[in-house]
Amino acid sequence: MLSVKCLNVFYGDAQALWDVSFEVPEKKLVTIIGSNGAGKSTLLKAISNLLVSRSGEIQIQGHVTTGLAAHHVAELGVAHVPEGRQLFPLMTVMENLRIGSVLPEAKAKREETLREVFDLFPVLGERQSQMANTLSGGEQQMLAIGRGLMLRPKLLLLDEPSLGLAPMLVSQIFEVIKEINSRGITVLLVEQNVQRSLEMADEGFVLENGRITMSGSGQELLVNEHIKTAYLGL
Amino acid sequence: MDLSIFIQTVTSGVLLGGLYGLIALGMTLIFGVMRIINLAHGEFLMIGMYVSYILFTKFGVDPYVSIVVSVPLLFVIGIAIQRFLLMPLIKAKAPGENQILMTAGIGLVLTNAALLIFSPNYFTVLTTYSNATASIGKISVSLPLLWDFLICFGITGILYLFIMKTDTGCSIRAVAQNIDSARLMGINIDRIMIITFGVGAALVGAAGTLLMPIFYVFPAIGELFTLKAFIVTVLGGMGSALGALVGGVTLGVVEQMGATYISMALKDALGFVIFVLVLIFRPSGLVGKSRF
Repeated sequence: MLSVKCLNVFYGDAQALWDVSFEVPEKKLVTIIGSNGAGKSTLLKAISNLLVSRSGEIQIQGHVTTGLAAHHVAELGVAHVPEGRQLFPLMTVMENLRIGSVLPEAKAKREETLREVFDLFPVLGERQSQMANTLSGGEQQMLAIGRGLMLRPKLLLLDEPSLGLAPMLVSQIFEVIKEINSRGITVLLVEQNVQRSLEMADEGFVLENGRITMSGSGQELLVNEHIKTAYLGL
Repeated sequence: MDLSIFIQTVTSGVLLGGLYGLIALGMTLIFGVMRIINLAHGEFLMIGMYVSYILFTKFGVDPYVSIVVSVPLLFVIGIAIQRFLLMPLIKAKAPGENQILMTAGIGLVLTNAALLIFSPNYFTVLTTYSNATASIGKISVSLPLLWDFLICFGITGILYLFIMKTDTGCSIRAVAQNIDSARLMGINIDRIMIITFGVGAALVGAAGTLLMPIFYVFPAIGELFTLKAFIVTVLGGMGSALGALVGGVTLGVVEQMGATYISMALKDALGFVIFVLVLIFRPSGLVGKSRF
C-alpha cells in the first residue's frame, strides 16, 4: 500500500528525517512511535506531500508520489488527519464533513459515507449544524477523523489522535480506529500513547531523532527491553 | 435639527453604502483567501465603468444591461492576472508584499492605458432615468441609486449562496480558514485562488457598471475607489463578507452626514476619521471574524 524508501526531509538546513524506509502492507494497522520531536509528524506530512522531501521515494499503491502536489496525493485515496485536528473553525460540523468529500469519487458517495461517519460518531450527527470551533476537544478529534473518512480513503494517516483527550475518550478513539481498520482501510498511526497503539498494531516502527531504529510486530515491541524503559516507563 | 433632512441623509448614505459594500466585497474575498490587498481593485472598477460607457455611447446599451458584459469580462481579467502575474510570484515563494506590489503595478498600467485610450476627460452616461427620483413623504432618493442598492443586495445574495452552498464556495472558505487542511482534502489550491481572484474582480466590475449611471468616469478614478474599498474592508474586519457590507454602509452614512452637516469638502476626510477611530478602538473591525 505504502512504501517509503530512503526518505530525507529538511527544514531549511536542519535535517529532520534521515534515510527513513518502511512499508505499510494493505489493510494492516501500522504504528510509528517515538518521543516528541522525533520526526513523526514530519514523516506524515512528507507522505501527504505537505512537506517536500529532499531525497528518497514514496510509493502509494505503486504510484510514485514524491514531487506531486498535496491534492494529487489525496486523489490517490490518502486521508491525513493532522495533529491538532486542523478543522475549518468557522464552518459547521456538516460543512467540515462536506469539504472532506469534494473529490469526485468521494462526492458520488457522500450521503452513504455521511451515514457511516454518523454511525461511528453519533455525537457528530447530533451537532451537525454547530460550528467546529465550539466543539469540545474530543468532538473535534472525532470530526477530524470523520472528515478524513469522508474522502473514502484507502490509507488513513492519523497523527496523535489521542493527544490531549480524557482517558475515557482515548479508549473510545482507539476503539474506533480498530473498527475503521477492520473495515478494510489501511491505517498508519502516529502516537505517543505507546502502550495502546502497540497493543492493537500489526506492526510497529520506532522513530528516534529522525531515524527508524527498531521495528517488529506490536507484541514484539511491547516486550522489548529498550521500549519498556524508554517509552513505557517500566 | 430638521428630522427629514437627517432621515434623507441617512437614507442616501445607506444606499451609497450598499455600493461601497459591493466594491469592498471583492477585495475582502481576495484578502481572505490570498492574504493580499489587491491594489488594482479600483482600476477593475474603472474597467467596469468604461465598459458601460462604451456600450452606452457606441451601441446604446442601457448601463444596467451592460452588467452582463462587464461581469464576465472582469472575471476573465481576474483569472488571467492571478494565473499569469500573481501565481508565478507564489510559486517562487516570494513574500506577500511582492504580490501586493504587483497589483499596484497592474493598477498603474491600467490607469495609464485608460489615459491613452480615453483621454483624461470625465465622461458620464445620460439616460432618461439619470435624474429620476422616488419620493416617500419628504424624503426623495435618486432612482438609479435605489436600483443600485437593490441590485447590490441581489448580487450579495447570489455570492452568499455560492460561498455557502456550492462545493467550490465551501472550498474557497476552507482555503481561507486553513490552507494546509484544504490541501489534505484534495482541494487544488491554485485553482481556488484563480477562481477567487476572478470572482473578486467580477464583483467590483459589477459595482463599476452600477456606479456609471450616478457617477462619472475618468482614468485616475481607480485610486479613489481602491482607497475607499480598503477603508471599508478594514472597517468591517479584513476577510469578512458581512463586515464589507457593514463597513460599506458605515462609510456611506458617515460621508453623507459629513457632507450635510459639516462640509461637502470634508466628507472624504470624515471617512478617514472614522477609519482611524475604528482602528484605535476596534482593531479587528466592526464585525470581526465571521464565516467568511
